[in-house]
Amino acid sequence: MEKAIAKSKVDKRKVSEFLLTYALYFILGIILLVVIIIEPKFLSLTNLINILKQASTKGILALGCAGLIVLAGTDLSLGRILGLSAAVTASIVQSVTYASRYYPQITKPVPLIVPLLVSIVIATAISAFNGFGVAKLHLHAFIVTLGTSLIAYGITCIYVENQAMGSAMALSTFDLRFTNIVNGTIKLFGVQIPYVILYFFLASFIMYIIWNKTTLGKNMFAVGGNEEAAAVSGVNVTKTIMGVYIIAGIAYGIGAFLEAARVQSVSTSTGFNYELDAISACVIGGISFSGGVGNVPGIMVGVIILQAINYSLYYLDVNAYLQFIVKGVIIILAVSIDVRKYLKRK
Amino acid sequence: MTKDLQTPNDKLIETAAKEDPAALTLEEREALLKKKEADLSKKESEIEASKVNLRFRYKLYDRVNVSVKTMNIVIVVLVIALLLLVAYGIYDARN
Repeated sequence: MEKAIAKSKVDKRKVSEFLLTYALYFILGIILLVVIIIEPKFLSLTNLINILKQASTKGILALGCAGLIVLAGTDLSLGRILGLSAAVTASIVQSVTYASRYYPQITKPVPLIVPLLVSIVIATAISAFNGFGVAKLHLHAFIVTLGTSLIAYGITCIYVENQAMGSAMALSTFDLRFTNIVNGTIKLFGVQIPYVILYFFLASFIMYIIWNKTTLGKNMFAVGGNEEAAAVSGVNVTKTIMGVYIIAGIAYGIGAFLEAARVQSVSTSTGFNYELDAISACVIGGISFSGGVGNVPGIMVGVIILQAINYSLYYLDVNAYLQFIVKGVIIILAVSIDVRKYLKRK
Repeated sequence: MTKDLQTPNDKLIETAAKEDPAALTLEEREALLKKKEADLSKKESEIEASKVNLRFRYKLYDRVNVSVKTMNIVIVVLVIALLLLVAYGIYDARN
């Protein structure tokens, strides 16, 4: 009898432990279920493709940012870096027949590799600067990235305002080749899949290889888990941190290029709050702020779930301001669950 | 003391010590001991310096000082708040 009572207590504890650990997934699942019950049309293929398409560019950004969170840091400049890179990309790929284009001296379509490389170089340079501040100057990532966020935003505003028209008009009317590279589709299993979704899965696969099969990836987890122990074990901490920041910069550059093509109009507000989406997707996906914990499939799930919630609230016409509050509560809840896991490990 | 600063005599003493420590004279043993002590104190100071550097980097949760029970309550409250918010949002949108 006593044994049975003790066993049921252990079972109850196990169940509550499981529920608390995966509380966020349950809640987000319940919300989605409620939305589907209210609007059964939500479960259409078009909506699923739209969710994946919107999640794709943010997913690539989250993949870059996740490495920094694994290092027990963060990146508040992500959105503004994306804004700057996207603005420069947009100015280069404007249609040569568009009279008010940023660079009237460009009279022939530029090969698309040029804006892609420019975008990557800009994003990587700023991200490497962040990395230098964290790795060499020992500044906290919050401070460095907050600073570079403002710097990047200032440069974006100056750049966008510096148009021949003399106004801060959004950069639009792009070369069709550029927009097709993202919005074009390929038929897979009878379904039209936008290219951008394939880029996201490809980027995830590459990031999976970097994280799990390379020395840099293994060193990243070692430094994130215990920097002192990693340093004593012979890991070059500075080099590792710089490497992770540079990879993040490359991801931001690619993300900016794709986002410019996806939204088809780039203004000074492009990229606003993207860092919050990326960071919250990472935390939902199981990347711990305590460092050294996380995996790529988790990030993919986090990004898609978060986008599904955003999309469903928008689909149900829920007040836009209320959506901000919901997102904020989701982030706090995700971090609380992460803190609980940290305390349990301690 | 780095290897570059070693004199040929130091190297000879070190090699001899490795091969047969008992063959060294008292002076040579004392010199070797002093050299080893100097090396050790240098390495200690290097480790201390790197520790001081690392101390500047703190993690986000380093200062978290609550019990798991408290966090359980926080999580439950947040879950209820989130559900109420979404329910209100949907109700508001449909009325």
